[in-house]
Amino acid sequence: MSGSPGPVLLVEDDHDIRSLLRERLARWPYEVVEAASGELALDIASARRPALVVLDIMLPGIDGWEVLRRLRSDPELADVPVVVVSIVDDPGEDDRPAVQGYLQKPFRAATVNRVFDELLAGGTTAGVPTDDRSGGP
Amino acid sequence: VRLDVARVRGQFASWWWDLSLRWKGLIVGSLPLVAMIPAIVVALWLSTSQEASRADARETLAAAAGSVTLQRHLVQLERAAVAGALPVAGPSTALDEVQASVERDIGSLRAAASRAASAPALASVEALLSAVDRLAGSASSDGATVGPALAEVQRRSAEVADRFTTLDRALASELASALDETAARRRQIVIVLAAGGVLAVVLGWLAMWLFTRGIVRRVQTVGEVTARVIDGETSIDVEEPGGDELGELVRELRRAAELLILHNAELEVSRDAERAVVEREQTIREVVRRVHQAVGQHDVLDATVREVAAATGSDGAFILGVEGGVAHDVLAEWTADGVPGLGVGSSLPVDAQRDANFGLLLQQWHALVIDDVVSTGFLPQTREILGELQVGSMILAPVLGEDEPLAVLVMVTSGRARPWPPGSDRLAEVVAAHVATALTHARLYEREREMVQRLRELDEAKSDFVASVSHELRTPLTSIRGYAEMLGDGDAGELTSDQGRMLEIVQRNADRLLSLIENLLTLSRIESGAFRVARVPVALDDVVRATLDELRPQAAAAGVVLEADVTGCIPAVLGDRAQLERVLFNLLSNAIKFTVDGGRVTVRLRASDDGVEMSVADRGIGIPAAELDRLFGRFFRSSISQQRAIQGTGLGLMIVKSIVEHHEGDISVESEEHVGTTFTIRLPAAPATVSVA
Repeated sequence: MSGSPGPVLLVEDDHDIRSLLRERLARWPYEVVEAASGELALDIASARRPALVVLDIMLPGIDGWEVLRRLRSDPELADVPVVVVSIVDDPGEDDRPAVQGYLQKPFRAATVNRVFDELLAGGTTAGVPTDDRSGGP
Repeated sequence: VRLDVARVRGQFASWWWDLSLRWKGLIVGSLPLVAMIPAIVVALWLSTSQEASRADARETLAAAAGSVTLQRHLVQLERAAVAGALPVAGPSTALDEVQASVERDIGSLRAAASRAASAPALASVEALLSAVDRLAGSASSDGATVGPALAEVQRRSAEVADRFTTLDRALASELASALDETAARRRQIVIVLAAGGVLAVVLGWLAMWLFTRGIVRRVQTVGEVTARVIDGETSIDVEEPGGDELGELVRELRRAAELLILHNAELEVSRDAERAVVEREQTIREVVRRVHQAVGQHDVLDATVREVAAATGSDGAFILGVEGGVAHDVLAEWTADGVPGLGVGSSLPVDAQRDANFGLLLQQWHALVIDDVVSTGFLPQTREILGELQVGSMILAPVLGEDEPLAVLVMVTSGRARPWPPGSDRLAEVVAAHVATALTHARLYEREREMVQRLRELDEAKSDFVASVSHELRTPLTSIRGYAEMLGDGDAGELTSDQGRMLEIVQRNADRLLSLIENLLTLSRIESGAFRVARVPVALDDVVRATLDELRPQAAAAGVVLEADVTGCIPAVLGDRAQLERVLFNLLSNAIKFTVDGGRVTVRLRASDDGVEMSVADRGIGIPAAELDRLFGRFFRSSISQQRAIQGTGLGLMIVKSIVEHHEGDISVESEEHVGTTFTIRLPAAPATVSVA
């Protein structure tokens, strides 16, 4: 494990949303590495242990849940915090690995900031799904 | 001789058997009288001989009396003579008297003497008679001879007296014996009569006893026979009953029994026939029931051939599809083990299809029983097929559609022709009729099912489409809202007030679009049954506050005042906060939409007996009463909102109701046109043990 904190791995296939999240993440002093697919994300993660994974679920190829499972099954990466960002408001079945944050698209800036604050300041949100509907039901 | 006795006895017996009971009774009753007759005859005879003895005794007594009279006269005569009173001239009175007495009594004296067989007495009487004559003669002539004549008379008289003394003694003894004899006769008569009476009584009793016993036995036999007949015994063999009334009765009974047996047999036959009919009907019903249990067309046809073959003992059963009046393919078949079949789906050879005779058979509107296919005029091609199938006998029943045969039900026996069980043709007809119905239904059902399947697929496709479109719409909305927010935050530099106003419009409409998408998504979940709500404690006052905050910009834009009326301690409810917010959001945005500028919308929250009551009241346009019951339906839009062109999808209230119901709550509405509308939601409180997370 390297001594310096790893990058934030941003996994999102939609270019505009990826840019939007990158803009949001610019507030924290982390390098942001982007991946448009699950496979690429896993490759990057195994190469550079990320400080945080921001993970979209609906991805081309393997989906976000599968990426999450593989991360959790890798001993090196098992404890990397993960924030799921999805249009799916259902966190899924019980057997899915716990995540440290949950953002439902479309999300508000305030919510995104709060979640990233908690995780990138060193703590986690203890796996409580945090969805954002303040933009409307 | 013995044979004769036996024959006589037999003759008597048969005579006696044939004698009527009346005569038998008469005979038996008169038997004591008959027994008395000999006794009476003997008694009469005895009494006759007693009478003779009595006459003898009377005669003897008369003779004795005569003798005594004579002697008295003689004594008088002697006494007169001795006294010299006997006149000399002319016959004296005494003499006359003697003479008259002698003449008068001489008869009885003679009789007595003769009866006593006493010749000396008779001679003495004759001598006395002549002595008296002489005395009379001498008395009339002179007196000289009177003396000797009298002496003669006296002597003769003494002689007669002696004789009669002896005779009297004999008569006395004779009388005594005659009396003895009379007494003896009387005793005999009594004995004979008594014996005859006893005999008659005994005989009569015996005869009566025998007669009664015979009758009782035969009556018992009649009773037993009757009982056996009643018990249903079919062969009544009783001995020859005789010709009397009882015999007649037995004969009548036997005839009745025979009639009864005959009747019973007929009844049994008709009952058998009836039972057979009932069984047949039952079989038909059973077959029909099983056929009806099948649902798909193939199941119906398979069930039919199987059941109909089982019910009639066929070796094979087929349903041939009929088109244009010809049987052309095999829709279903069942064959017993070892019996060849045609193969379901196979077509009949064209020649057989065109067999005019076969076609003619198909055009019959009732079942046809062909006991022997060989003698039926099929074309060689048809016969060839039948030969291949080893068909012996055949029943064909048309499966009739509305105006033409849909199919034909064929039942066959394999090998030798053999007769069909009775009623097989009717069974085939009824089953075929039901098959027609079932086939029509099955076809309709299958068509219906296909249609339902298509509709379901279509609906699923639509739901999938809605879901995926909703999801897909969220992605661009994320960018729109995200970047709009960044613009608003000044991330791209400060905005002018016009830019800010325009950006706010963009954001408001993005929110509206999002709400719409959420509603569509929820609807598709509700319809696909995938809609679920979380069950965590939710504080409704928080929900009210958050939702009101959220809608304030919208309300402000519409010039509507939103107010909350939350009083007292509101218990938590178990549910899904996001969904409950959506409920309130939908109700409030409706209320805002339908309230005129300057109006007021109130959210009221109260604790109720068993939960929470939340209401949203507006002073809006209201809902026509006639439309209230359709209010919570899908795509409902009130006529007023349509008239006023108020926007809406007509999904909001349906979703509200569904969410409330998923929370085990209920929703009601009160509305008056042009006055306003109040929606009231009641939700059960969460159990006291859980606290709001």
